[in-house]
Amino acid sequence: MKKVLMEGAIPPEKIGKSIANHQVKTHIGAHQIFLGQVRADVIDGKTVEAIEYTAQEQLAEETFHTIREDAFAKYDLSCMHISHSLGRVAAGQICLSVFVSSAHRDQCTEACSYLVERIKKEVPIFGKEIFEDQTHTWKENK
Amino acid sequence: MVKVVYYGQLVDLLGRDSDEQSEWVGVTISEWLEGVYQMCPQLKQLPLKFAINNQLVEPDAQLNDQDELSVLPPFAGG
Repeated sequence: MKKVLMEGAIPPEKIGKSIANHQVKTHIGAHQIFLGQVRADVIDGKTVEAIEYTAQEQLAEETFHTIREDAFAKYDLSCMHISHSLGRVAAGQICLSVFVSSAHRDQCTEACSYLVERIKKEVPIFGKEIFEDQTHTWKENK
Repeated sequence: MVKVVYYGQLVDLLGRDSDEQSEWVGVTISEWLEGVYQMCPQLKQLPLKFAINNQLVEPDAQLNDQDELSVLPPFAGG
């Protein structure tokens, strides 16, 4: 099973490297990339400076695996790479990366959106929003 | 023995990340939850999900000896 969770923010270089790695796969005609970035939300006058992610890690990895398999069955995809952060990710940094490739754009565009929606809804990941004064609140996906 | 593991904001609310009790063997998650609600009524506000041994289950699932129950508050990935 491909591991999705990684410690800390997703470095922009990792995404650049992914693009480079696909240049030998010339049957691919389209990539769709979704990047989730930590937003400095202002809640009751306090600004979020980071989100600290935790997860029920085993169930999270198994759920990512199921979602991946479902997307491969539903869409005609060449490859798929998903990463999600654990631990502290500062505002402005990347916490989720979904990279989907296919021969034609319609398949990867739809698959990417499908993946992001399912990840947000179904994967047991929890986010503690830490304010600049080091108090916190808990993020909930709507 | 049944082990219960709490995640996310539940650790804040309960002040611990797990509990272990032999008297929970044979009870359903709903029955177990009634006891927790008495101890921490704020939990009633939270929509919770449950997994036994890493499989999502409904609250009517029964806890068996050696089970590990994960209690999951709202998700926030992405």
